[in-house]
Amino acid sequence: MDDILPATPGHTIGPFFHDALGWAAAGGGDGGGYGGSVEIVIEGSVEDGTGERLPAWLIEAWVPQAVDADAQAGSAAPGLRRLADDASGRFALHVPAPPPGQPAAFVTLFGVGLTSHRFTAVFVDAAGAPLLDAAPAGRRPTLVAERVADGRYRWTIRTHGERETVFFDYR
Amino acid sequence: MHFDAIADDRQPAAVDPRYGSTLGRGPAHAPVVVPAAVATGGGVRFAAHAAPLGGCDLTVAGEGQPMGQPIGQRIVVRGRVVDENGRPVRRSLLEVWQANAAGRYRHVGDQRAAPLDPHFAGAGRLLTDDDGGFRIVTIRPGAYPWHNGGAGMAWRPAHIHFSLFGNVHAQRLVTQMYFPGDPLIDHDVIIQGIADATARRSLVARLDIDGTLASDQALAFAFDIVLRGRGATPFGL
Repeated sequence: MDDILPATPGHTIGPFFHDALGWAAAGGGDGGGYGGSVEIVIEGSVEDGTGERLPAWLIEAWVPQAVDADAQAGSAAPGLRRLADDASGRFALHVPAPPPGQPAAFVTLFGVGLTSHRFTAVFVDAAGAPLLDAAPAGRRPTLVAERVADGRYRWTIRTHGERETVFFDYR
Repeated sequence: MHFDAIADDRQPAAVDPRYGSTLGRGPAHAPVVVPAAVATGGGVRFAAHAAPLGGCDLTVAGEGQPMGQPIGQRIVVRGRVVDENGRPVRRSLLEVWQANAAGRYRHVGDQRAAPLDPHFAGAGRLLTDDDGGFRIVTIRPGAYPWHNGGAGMAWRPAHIHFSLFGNVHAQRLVTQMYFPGDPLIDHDVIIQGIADATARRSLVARLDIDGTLASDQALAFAFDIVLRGRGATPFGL
């Protein structure tokens, strides 16, 4: 039983996923339940190479540091945040502050114009994170959210072009 | 778990001139390869109440879908979710969504002149069972037209969207299932964006003739999914 089977290929998520996937955790941000951890919010948008918003997109964030509190609050998907495009075209991701050396969230991006999912991560502290250091030095800033106020950060995901966000292939 | 590279011809090209939507949107850079134990060793663990175990039925009443029989060919899609070693991916979330028999999605973004079915919402979810198995009852979706940028009109073959989490973050997959013998598959830029023919064929369900003949209710289709990753320990990870 140690054959290697070929993995099933991915596809674009298409434009019609919102109602089907909306049942799962949204942006977090009910403000409670993080057991004393500071909650931060990362706001942003998903853009193509020309600065236009993608017509439809889905951000999934896996937030290991939120799992315990989410589970205690009865979440069906502890540690998951799901944020889809709406009229504003923006997202607001609420998470507990990450431990040192870890991203604020592991992110999976889907959208119209993306033929498969893309893995990335967002950091609020650029220092001493092995995953961040794995990215080419000149492109690391694309993974670091900019602080705009206490506990508030801004991060733009760019799927193509000069300031293209780093996407990862995990091994 | 260990994750290997996926060959370029076994996944859709990020930028495909035949598929206008990808221009300026698909990443130009190859992904950065990185060992990441957190991503290959952990992930979202769905609670038991997240979804029914082993199966779901899109033909029965649910949220936004009143009681009543949906129009169209009733089908059962059965399969297993396994990893690259063939080991079952257990208790993992699987979500599906699709158009109705007329090829219309119950979604604000689909306003074309095809009827909505009041008895069909077209979305479901389940947790795979301890054999990685799933059973989805639904109706066969219709094909639908779309504008492929400068290339003009195109028609998507009948398809069901599948979303899978696997057991670890790096196994995440969204894909589409197609139906055997559909002549539109050869003309669809989305599936044809995968260069390898066997990789494309793995997205086409198989008619399970025995399951079909055993039923007077529904056609039976078989569709197995292989998630990336190998070397899982015997007790799941």
